[in-house]
Amino acid sequence: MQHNGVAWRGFNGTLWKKRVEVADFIRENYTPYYDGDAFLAKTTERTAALWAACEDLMRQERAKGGVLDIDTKRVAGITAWPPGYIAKELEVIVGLQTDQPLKRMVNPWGGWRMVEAACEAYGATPDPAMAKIFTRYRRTQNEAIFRNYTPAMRQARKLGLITGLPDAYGRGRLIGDYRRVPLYGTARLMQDKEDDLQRMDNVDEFAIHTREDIADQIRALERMAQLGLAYGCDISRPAETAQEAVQWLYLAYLCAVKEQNGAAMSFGHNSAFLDIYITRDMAEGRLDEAGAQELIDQLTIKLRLVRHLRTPEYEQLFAGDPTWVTESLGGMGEDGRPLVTKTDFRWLQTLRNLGPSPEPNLTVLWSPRLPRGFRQFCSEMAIESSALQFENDGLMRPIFGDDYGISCCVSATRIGYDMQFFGARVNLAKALLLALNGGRDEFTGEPVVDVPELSGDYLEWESVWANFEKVLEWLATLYSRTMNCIHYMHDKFNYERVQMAMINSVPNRNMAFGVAGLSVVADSLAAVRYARVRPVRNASGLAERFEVVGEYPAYGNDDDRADGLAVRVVRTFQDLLSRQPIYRRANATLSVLTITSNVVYGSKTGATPDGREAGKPFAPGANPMHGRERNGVVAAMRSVAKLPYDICRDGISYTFSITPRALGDGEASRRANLISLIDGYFGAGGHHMNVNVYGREMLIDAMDHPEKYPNLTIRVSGYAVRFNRLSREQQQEVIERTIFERM
Amino acid sequence: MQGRINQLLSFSTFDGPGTRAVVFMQGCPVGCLFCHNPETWDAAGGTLITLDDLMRRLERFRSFLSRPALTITGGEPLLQFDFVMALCAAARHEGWHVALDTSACATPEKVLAAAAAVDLMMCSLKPEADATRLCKACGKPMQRSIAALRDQPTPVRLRYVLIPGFTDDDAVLRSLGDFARTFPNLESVELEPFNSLAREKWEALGMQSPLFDSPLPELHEEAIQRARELVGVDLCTH
Ligand code: SF4
Repeated sequence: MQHNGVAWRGFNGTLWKKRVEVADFIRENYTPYYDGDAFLAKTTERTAALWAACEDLMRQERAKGGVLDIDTKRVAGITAWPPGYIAKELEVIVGLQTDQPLKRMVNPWGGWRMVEAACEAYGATPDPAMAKIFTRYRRTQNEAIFRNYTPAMRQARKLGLITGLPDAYGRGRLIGDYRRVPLYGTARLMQDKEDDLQRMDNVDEFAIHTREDIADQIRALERMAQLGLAYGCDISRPAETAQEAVQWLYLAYLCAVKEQNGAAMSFGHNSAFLDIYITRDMAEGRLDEAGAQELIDQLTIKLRLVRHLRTPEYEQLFAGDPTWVTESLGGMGEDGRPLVTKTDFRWLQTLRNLGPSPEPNLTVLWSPRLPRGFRQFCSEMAIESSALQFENDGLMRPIFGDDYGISCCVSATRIGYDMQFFGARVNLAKALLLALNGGRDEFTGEPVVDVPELSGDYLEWESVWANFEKVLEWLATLYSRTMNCIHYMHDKFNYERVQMAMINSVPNRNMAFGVAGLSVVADSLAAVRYARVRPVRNASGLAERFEVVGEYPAYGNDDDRADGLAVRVVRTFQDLLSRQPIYRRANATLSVLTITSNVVYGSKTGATPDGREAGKPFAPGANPMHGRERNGVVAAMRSVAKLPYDICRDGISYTFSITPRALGDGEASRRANLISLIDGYFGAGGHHMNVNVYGREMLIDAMDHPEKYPNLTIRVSGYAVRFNRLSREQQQEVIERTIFERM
Repeated sequence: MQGRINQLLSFSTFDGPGTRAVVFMQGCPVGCLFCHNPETWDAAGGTLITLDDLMRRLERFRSFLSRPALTITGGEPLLQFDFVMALCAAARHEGWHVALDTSACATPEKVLAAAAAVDLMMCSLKPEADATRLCKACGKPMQRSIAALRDQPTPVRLRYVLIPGFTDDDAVLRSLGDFARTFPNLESVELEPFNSLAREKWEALGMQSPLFDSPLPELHEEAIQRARELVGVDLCTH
């Protein structure tokens, strides 16, 4: 502990010194900022040059079909590569996943097949020796899971009923408390883990499992320190300056993305923490604003370079090579002070200094009580970049406290206290079709679940709901068992020792279940209940399409009849899930989120009673179906806000798109109107909002002339993506989405 | 009390100052060939809603708007005079800023009574029928009703649709400016460039209009600016 005198000079508080408790350190030492953005600095020349080099590399990457290079010789790992640089003399913050920027790692721990398929797709061949190890001697997560899948699980997966499962790559979604490394240094963290290990001396399965985990974490911390030294950073001790704090923080995160290729590898909620170091350096005359901005710009550059090796099928689900380096900004402190610092502004400023970009996935924890200047700047940047998402701090803080961050898109996580088992999602629209087709798949006719055939020319509400409930009950059981199997094997063969080394040894665990196709189901049920729906059945009795006679109230119009059905569906399903036995005593949580998979799920789903044709995309997340919001944006938001967050604790994603003119006449009124809309939506109980401000004409133009819009960034469902990285089909779907405008 | 509405729009920045909720009343006898809401014409169409229900739904939008503001449009709202008057009173009682968007196709008494019941009158000036044959009803009596608003305390916004080759005649635009200047309570003149976005609506209703059947020459920014100058730049909004 001899270094701490230097590292902790001038810091207040005692609790955080005695035990690892970053939130207490922040509370004792941060400086809330109440003014506007006038203090912000532009990029330094050095950083601009560095970013130009990166942009050039990314252009080459796109030109090569999306992957610049793959290292097929080494197995992903913390210390697998010697240090790598983009242009060493320009880098203030160092560290790359491999020895070259944008060179992708082979990560076989999740599964060998994915490695082979991905290498093949990009014209590379994995090293034969590695192939031998991971097919003959070392079992992978993927292999173990597939050996344990039951026939019913395989069928549900194949038909697209349960999809997007993390059974061939890392599950992601974990946020390590990376701040612990700069604040305490890895030596102290190792000592703490050793103590935990000693304390855990009960010999039952729980204790043995936990001890094995902790032992792994300790090994990870050793390696992390080695990696630091390779880059000339002694991260075994606490950081002493702002530059070191940013550097240590990034190295801790870097170790996680060197070992794990989870879909979402989020960063946390780091601004107030970093701001304390920046403020101290400034007071000591070591740093000016340009220097402070440079640290955040350079950190952002590094986060924008994170890559994983994926297959083309993966791209369909999660288009545009996203990594969900989600960084949460703002939020209110539990003591009533805003957690807004100048560094929250500096993060937003990167969108101007380096241009808009999907990563890091900047997420504003929004409250009407945040300082006016910050709210205005957020609104301005959201309109300018279409790269921000907003989440309701007032809903989350009472549950998670004030030191939480968003993982992935909408999943609130207490930093350092929670971990989660990512559970992908089930296709609810397909489940409804099983209920309407006597439990048979609507395309193949194969029997899937045992429910009675429906009789009569028209669908009758009572029996439709009764059948649907039966299907959901069966599905909840199958789904939770599938997840149990996946996460048991993931823990065993692909354990996230790095992130877990920065999470408490006995964390709270959530099993993050999810649903897709909610608005299709709500509208279909509303059609059955409030209009008359006649299934047109083929020779084998499968409904090929549906005729709707009369009108039905659609979800998205603030009409309780339809919205109530959406609520009823999530309540029913969550209730069924929470009764299932779950691996490692995790809590069942539920999200309404699709990423870009609403297109793929739609393509695997037959025609539905709401009038949607077979194969057509669903609306993203919890959005109403395109074009059915007849009463404008506020009514649509009112509907989505009815979905109860206490039932959907893993988050409810809503993507809002509006033309600049429809949002307001002139910049100042647009800024103010967006603030009113977000306040209104969150005040009504809404959880999350992606904000897109653009016109359809521009998107169509961007589709036809991608070269004119190289940096066009849009928010899809919980993340942002470069428009030109979407497939034609996905672009089309984005264009068909409701963009609020008026003739 | 019940009224027939075509649509309740929860958020608009096109129908008066700020962000507003908009009620589209059903029924219009004017029959403009450039109409963007032909589905509102049929006085027996739309949906019946009680005043209480309408107010309840409206109140749910309040917290999303920069201030509670409502525009009543249509159709021709004055066709359902009693209901609209009751709606104005109820909404203003609850603190809503109320604007009435009307062609003034009603008796001058009704137009004056309506003006006294709202915070802002937005009047669409129709071209005179004999000149352009763009409206079934004649523009003249409507213009007289609008003129009667001159002595009222309620501010007036005049709206005029710019249609190339039909309503953009120099002399007509100049006289529009002259007419507008006679209003001491004039807030502004809004020139609305015509667009053909309502073509699908006309087709769906099986109705014909020379303005939607074939593409019109595009209105360029310079042409709009010229029109503004003819009317008087000081009068025009943006
Ligand atoms: S007065 Fe208005 S609603 Fe009536 S026809 Fe003319 S434009 Fe359409």
